[in-house]
Amino acid sequence: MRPVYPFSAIVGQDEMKLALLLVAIDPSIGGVMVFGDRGTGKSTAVRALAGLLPQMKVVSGCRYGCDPQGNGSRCDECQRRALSGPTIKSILAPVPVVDLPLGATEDRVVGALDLERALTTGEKAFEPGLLARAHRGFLYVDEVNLLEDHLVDLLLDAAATGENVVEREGVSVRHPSRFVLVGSGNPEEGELRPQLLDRFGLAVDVKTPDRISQRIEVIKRRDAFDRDPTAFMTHWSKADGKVRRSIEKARGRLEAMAVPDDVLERAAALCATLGTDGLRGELTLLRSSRALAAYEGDDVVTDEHLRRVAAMALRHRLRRNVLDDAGSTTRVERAIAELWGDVACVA
Amino acid sequence: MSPVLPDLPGNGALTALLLAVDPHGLGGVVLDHPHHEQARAYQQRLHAALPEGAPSRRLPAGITADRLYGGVDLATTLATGRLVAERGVLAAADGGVLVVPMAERLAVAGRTALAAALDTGSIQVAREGIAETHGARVCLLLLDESVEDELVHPALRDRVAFVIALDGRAMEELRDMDAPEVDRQWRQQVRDARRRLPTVTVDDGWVRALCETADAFGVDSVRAVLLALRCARAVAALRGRLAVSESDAERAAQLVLAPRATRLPVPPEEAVDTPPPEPPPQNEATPPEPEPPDESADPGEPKAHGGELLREAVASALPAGLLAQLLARAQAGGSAGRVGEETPNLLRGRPRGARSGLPRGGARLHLLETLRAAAPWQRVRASSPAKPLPPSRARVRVRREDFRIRRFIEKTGTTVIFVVDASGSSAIHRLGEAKGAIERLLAESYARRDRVCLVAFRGSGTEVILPPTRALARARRVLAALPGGGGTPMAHAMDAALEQALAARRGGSAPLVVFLTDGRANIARDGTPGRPRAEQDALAGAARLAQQRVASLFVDTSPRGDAMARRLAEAMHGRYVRLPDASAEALGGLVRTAMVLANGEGG
Repeated sequence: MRPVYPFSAIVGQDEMKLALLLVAIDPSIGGVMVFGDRGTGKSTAVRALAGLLPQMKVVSGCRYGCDPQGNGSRCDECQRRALSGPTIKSILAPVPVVDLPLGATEDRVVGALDLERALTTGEKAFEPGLLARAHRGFLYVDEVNLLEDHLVDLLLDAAATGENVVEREGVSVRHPSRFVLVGSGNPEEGELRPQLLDRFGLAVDVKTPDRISQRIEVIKRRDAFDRDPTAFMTHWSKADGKVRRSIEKARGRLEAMAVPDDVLERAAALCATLGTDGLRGELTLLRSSRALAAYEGDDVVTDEHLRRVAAMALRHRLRRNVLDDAGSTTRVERAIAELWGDVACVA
Repeated sequence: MSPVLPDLPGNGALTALLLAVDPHGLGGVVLDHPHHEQARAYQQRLHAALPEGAPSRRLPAGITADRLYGGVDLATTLATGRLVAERGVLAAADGGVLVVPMAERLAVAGRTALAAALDTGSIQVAREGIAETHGARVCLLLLDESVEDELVHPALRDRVAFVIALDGRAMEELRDMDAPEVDRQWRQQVRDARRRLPTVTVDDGWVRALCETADAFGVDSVRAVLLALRCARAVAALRGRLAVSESDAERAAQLVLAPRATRLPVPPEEAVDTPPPEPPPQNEATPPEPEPPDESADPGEPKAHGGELLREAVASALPAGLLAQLLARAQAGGSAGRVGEETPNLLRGRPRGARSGLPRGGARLHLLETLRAAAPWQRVRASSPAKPLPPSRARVRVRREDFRIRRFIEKTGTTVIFVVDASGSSAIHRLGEAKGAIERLLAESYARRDRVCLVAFRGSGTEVILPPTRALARARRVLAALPGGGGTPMAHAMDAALEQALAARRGGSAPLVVFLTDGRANIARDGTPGRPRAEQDALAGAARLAQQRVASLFVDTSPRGDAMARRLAEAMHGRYVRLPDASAEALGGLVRTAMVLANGEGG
């Protein structure tokens, strides 16, 4: 396998890293959209996350990577397994991070008839696609704004229902497909459809680091990695391990996390001020501040947590205002400043 | 030490050698409008210097996705009855050179595949029953053959180290290297350099200097600096050194950073936080030159390598026209040029899967889907032939009912082409309103797949101010500065409108042309002033629009309405609207209505 750049070696880009960590802690936040300049390490960060995440238990022999605990839905086979015997054999597997290339065809995304088996044995077998492989993991689409509409529809459908339903050429299959959608793109090259944008829980802007010292560090580390990946990864494995343990701990803490009423009210007020459509914004805001509190080892969600995730949870849900030229980040920050008083804004 | 090495050639020929030293690391080169022989000479030199047996492939224009990514090898699959995959061009070029002609026309899927190959050194195939990953450590030779304002897509330009125009000197040097003796020598030297490359070290000071230089010239991409660093290593290796020296870093900065410059360095910036020094002399006519570096460092004494040295090197290597261009751009704001028009998809136009049907009357057979349809029945058909056919030797039995044909989407939204009269005194107002209307349209209709394009005409020609786009951010930036004034070349405007309309149609979008003018043509097609000829030419142009059945809307902005404007609208079979005081809001409403009507008519 190709060596993956360590997550903790990424210089700066704190917002993007935080967003990825939050969805890793609580996948129900629902995906991250990364907008940004070229060459800012968007793809690197997403791939780096793969090397970081704790392994997960999967049903041994299941083609869809079902959860032995049966959390969420199971595929038909696992359903049968669960009925036939009390114990299900499970193995540890890495959390999948699946790339969806723009050139992918529909049959590879949803899965299709296994042509080889059909031709050789005449058997109607289903060959799982990318949506199956991404189950319980991450589905990464680079330049998601350029993805063809009919593929976008497939993603939206699966993301909304948590399962993939295939009805093609005589195969009829339904299997669970819950994944965290991570997209990246440059808004100057094409707008994202609002329906798709809304599916992303968090949206972050990445920029080229503007401090020279930071850029120098980026170049140095990247160069060191290119020249000797193994040594570089060994050097950073300790830091990566620390992050991994923090994620594990945070996941455990999430259940018992308390959200005081006044924080709920603040979240609602913020969404109302900004006029975000629907409840999704508010929900994401709460979930991500819970995840943040859990990550930092706190027991209670505070205004501070809310404030730090507000921009990434809401900036892509604002109605476009032709008359207001201010960027959406500024608008979120302005609203916070109005509501919270003179607290300093997020950097 | 090593024997005496020949001097390095000039930049053009040098890049070919450097790419051979680190083909995938440097990513490749954009050749700026090469002649056929130039491109070939460059490619041959690069290929000759690569390790023995390295592939060299050419990407045919209009390549299909299955050939780029790889797909099903139909012949073998049918013959053996087993799914056999075939490597695509990208995988076949692994470890070698991939020539991309007309790189500016590369469509989305093509360029993302190339970009992914450069990033990861591999290509992931997820097509038609195949899921594989192949090595694709390619070195791209992007031939930029654009006209006017198209550009090789920034996503690709950013990923390759060099952008060069081959000049006479470069060609001469490339030719000289073909002499057998010289050829052998260079091959040897490149081979040695390749071996040496992994051990070449770079002092941190040079990393800092490259970063600072990039910053001074407004090169924002971190990738550019990384490429410059790799380039410096390759230069050092080629010169037989084990550590990057000042001249290596200089050369790398010239080659990689200079073509990417977007601004001139702010003269001296020794300390930002000190109070401003005494005011500079007021009457300096020329813009200040980049300050020469402090002459404290003696030549031959390598001291703290300041960014100034590199900065000077880069400044000296800026292409001649670039300086003027940079200055102009600084005034206009925003970057010039545009990304090459992207056809929606190089793969299959606008695919919408397959349906059963016979491949005739222009319908194209979808082979794979046909096979899929036939596959489940093979057993049955083999054992019980429905009709007494001659014993078939075919491995796959395909019947009429298995046939599947490709489906395409007919139209994808509308492209509204604003053709705005930027001549005369009211130009500013008209352009301003058009701009407002465009922003409104984009803001409201981005959910639908509509695009907007703006052509301005004045003086002796037309200018595409905003190529078809649906990106509001981009439109805003481009529309910020619009020119105005001059004569009214109506005939040219008609031609430009037709050209854009047909291009939109080719891209699968329905065009709607919106003219915004007072109709007083006074420049003829051949550019000469004079009203009668100009009007005649304009009417002829309008008739051509009608002939192509392009939907149009003619907004007359003259105070009392203009007879000529009305005649033009009639000639193009367009709707005529008099709107002396066209406000952005009114215009937006009009255009929306026209869009609905145009779609209703069906073209």
